[in-house]
Amino acid sequence: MSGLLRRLDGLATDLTPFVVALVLIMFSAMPINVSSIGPVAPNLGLIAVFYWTIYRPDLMPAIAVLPLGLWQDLMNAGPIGLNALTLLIVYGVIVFQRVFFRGKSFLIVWWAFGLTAAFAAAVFWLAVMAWHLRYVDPAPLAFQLGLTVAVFPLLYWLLSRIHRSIARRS
Amino acid sequence: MASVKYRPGSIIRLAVPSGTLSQRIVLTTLIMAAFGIVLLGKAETVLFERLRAGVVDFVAPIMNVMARPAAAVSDAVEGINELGRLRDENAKLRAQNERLLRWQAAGLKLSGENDRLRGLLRFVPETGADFVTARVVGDSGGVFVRSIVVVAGARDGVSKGQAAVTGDGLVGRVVSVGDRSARVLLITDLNSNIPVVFEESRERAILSGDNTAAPKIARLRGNARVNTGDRIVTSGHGGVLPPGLPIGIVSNVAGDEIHVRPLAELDRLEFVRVIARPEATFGALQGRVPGGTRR
Repeated sequence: MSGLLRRLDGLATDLTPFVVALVLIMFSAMPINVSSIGPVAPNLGLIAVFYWTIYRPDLMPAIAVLPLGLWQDLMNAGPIGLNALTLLIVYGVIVFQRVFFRGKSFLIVWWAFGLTAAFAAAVFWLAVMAWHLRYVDPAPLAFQLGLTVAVFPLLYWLLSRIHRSIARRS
Repeated sequence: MASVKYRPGSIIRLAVPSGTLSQRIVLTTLIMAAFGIVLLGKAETVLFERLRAGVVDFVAPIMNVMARPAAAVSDAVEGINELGRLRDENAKLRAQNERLLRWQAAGLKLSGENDRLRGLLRFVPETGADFVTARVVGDSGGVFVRSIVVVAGARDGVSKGQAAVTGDGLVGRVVSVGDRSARVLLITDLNSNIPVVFEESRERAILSGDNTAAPKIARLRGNARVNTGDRIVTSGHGGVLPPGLPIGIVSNVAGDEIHVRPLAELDRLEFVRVIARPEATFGALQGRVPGGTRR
């Protein structure tokens, strides 16, 4: 392979985690009306950022998390920047804890993701209330949290397949 | 996954300084930037709204394709739920049908009478309202936002402030418009405030969303009498929405807290009609919308 092609291929590999996260965030905006609590979809973007931050932090730097959060903000209709802010704060927590996760069993990672997602939900809830300056019922957020933690194993499996395929190419 | 090795010459890695201290500085700077964007977004809404309309415009066709299987999944789940409710529903529908037949008779009589009286007055009928029927492709405005995205935009005649309805009643109003997509803020959203009037008593109030399925009545005159089952319709005050669009039925009265159950099934929207002419009245609307057809 020529040098240029090799570099293009490398760039495609490097961008994979970012693009996967972008697409997953778009999926989160799809209509799934099975809940009586409201149209709540799992926070797939958080799962993607969590996964790549632990296993390929070189491909999920903080500078990539900001546009991902803004993308989430633009896809949604809420106040601009709140998802970006939340995602960055949570990223900060994951990136400095990530040594703990490496090589741990899936169940421990899942449990840790649950804690992280709960923290993210709390930060987002507080941010929304600070923005609106009024109390907001957290029930839909709690529902989303449950949903997000529940779909984590499936997404983990999917992401680890993508992970393996880009690892093979590098 | 611990066995995966890092690739040393990674391009992105080179772009980001390594080391914990500089990592922290980058992260802190980015968090401050995000905070700045939040503040900017609060002050400068027009720019972000346009950006957002552009993004939604871009993804709406993709979502339109993806919405079909998603709709099939939610239909299937709903179908299973519905099986359990069939008996009850059937009995309820029979009772309702009987009641509606009586109303139909009354309606036909009134309609005939209306025609005769109009003839007497040489009344000039209103020109009908124009509708744009649009598929709902996204309904996740986020956890704390109740909104939907429809595939109809400026090029179809949709503009900001227009009412979105189903055959059952008001769904919400258009809050941002792209070229081929628009976002409708549902009447249940936290930021939705709609001037309404009680159909019977003609009491005026504001229907204020609180992100629950049943929005609240606010700013009602102190001694106004409200009963469960009262119908409320848009009042048309403020000039944003046409008057007389059916919205909902009072479902619960507890002291000052009055909740309204919307007539439109807001959690199962697949198509909505956007009323392209705000001056249209419900009289014209009734003429064009076949009652209860949503699909």
